[in-house]
Amino acid sequence: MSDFAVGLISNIGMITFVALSAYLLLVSGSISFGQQAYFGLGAYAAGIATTLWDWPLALGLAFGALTGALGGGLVGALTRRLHGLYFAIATLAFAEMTRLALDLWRYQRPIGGELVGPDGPNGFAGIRRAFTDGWEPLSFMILIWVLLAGTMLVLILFERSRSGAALRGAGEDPVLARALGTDVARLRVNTAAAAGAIAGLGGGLYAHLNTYIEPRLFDVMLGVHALAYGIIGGLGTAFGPLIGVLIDIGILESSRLFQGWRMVVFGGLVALLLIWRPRGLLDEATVRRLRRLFTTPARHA
Amino acid sequence: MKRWIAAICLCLLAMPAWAQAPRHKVELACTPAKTALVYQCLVHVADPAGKPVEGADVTLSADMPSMPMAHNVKPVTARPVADKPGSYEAMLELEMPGEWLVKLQFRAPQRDLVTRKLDFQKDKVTPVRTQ
Repeated sequence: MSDFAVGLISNIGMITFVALSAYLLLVSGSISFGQQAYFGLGAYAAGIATTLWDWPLALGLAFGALTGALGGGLVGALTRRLHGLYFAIATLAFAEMTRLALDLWRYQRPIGGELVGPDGPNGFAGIRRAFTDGWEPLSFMILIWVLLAGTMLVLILFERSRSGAALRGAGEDPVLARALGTDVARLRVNTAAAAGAIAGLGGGLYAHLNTYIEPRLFDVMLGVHALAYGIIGGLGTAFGPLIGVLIDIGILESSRLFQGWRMVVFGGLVALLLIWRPRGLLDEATVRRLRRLFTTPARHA
Repeated sequence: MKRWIAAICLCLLAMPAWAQAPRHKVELACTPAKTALVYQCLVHVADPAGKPVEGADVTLSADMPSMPMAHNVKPVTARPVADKPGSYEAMLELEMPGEWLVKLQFRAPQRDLVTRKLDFQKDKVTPVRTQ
């Protein structure tokens, strides 16, 4: 496999983590412009754990996911009574606050004669754990996709469970869900924590693949794209965000079809989809139709 | 069983980072080529004593920090420059001007991954920070 293909497939995998994180909140009826913050928190936490504290890669990635979950849970708890625009603004404000805090934060230690660690706007270079452990770009790409497949499997199983149905119900009509006995506020906090964990895991992978991160990586642009991928792909299934990423990065970007106009085309595509299919290509109705198509009807005597 | 798991976890936590040979010194300088958005990049590799390193296998790729993972630049392998020991050149084609993180992946004579942030403009390229 060429270096270009390995890089492209790795990027598709990593950005899908942020898209899945935004998707989970969309399903719960919340629009978040701040999932990039948890991606960033996960990246910094995992990088610090493996580089400064010498933790193994697996523990570092788990720590990144946990940090993302704590961030998501905290914001979820603080904003549990907010809806619509107010929730969106609150998440954006937290994300910007996190980015600016990372811009000011310095925590460095000498390693191999060099100062290593977060250095404010200069970023955090030398996150070399995956590299020194012998991970090649190809094997790391496989790791990304194994973890992504695992995450998607958990999400798909969750969506088919009673809790998953309750989450969709709360997203569509919170008043009705509350009347049916669902603790909507608690459900939203848990969902925000889970979404934070997913983004944090992606961030940890990103930090170790690139060996360098900086606060600017986690600005609102990443959050807007993550949201757009969920909307393009559809809110009917966890495959939706992956389809959104495949359309943008896999087709528009990698083919260089529109050259410098790609972002304009991408914006237009989002606008068109919001008019034509407000809940994306694979919306709930389409997923139901597809399920009926692939499920053999039971024969009655 | 629990004791064994705890012992393994403690060993993993206490495991030191992989011992590595001293890293080579790497310098990167890029200049705009005649074609728009194409840049000629010169990589100079020296051992810790400052002696030029020959026979290096290095590939250059780039990512844009303002939009991570969204731009996929085709990686290029640098070729040795004649009469300049330790120097390698590659033509890097970017998608737009701006700050890019250039990744230099070394496969020989020692495995290494070096990153450099450069500001690529139409008429000049300036380093943003040396890592």
